[in-house]
Amino acid sequence: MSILLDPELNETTALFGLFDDFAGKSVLEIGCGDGRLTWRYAERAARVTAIDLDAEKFAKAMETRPLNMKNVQLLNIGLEPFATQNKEKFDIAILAWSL
Amino acid sequence: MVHALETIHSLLKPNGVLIDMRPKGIPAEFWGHRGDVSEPLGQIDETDAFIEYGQAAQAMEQAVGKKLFRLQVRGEYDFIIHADSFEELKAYLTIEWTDAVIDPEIESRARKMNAEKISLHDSIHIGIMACL
Repeated sequence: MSILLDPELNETTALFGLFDDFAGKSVLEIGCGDGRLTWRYAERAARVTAIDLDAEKFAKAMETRPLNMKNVQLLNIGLEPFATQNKEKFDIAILAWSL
Repeated sequence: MVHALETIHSLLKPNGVLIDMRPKGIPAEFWGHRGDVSEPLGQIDETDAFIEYGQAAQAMEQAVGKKLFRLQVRGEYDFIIHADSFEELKAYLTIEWTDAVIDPEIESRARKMNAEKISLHDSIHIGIMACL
């Protein structure tokens, strides 16, 4: 066995228990890391923009991206440069261990 | 950090929602498992990370004070990392939790109980914040 992160799915159980209004919504995830959480909620949302400045983690997110996640845009960029060039307003923002 | 929250606020629609998930700053606990027996082995020390968790909580309080966000509901959960051995978990933490300091006594407790599995339990805060 390699390292297993939250195989109990406590993270998404807690998240969806408190908030599950992703349907039809646009999501901005700041600091998506390797996409571990992203892949767990993205199919519930209309569109996800997931950003992370860390090139290594971004590469891992690209590598582990499920084939059916066509609604997810992964960007290797920090929050401030993203905000400068972005013109879209989002319904939901997620800060997962990244504040 | 408050500036980051101001930026996020500017990226959200007026009725948007911010989901804030972060460690509560309570030291994560190692557990050893052998058969049906599970024993706490001790807590990890995250040094600088604990300071950052406190700063993050303060920044969110300031953002609420500035009326950028309002807390709708909050909860918590245990994020658990599992490994087959202490060495495996330690190697992972060396890369991913760079601030973490592990008391050698924890490792010796794991050896003493001849643990077949090791887990690390971290208490996580989750807040659903309404954009104002």
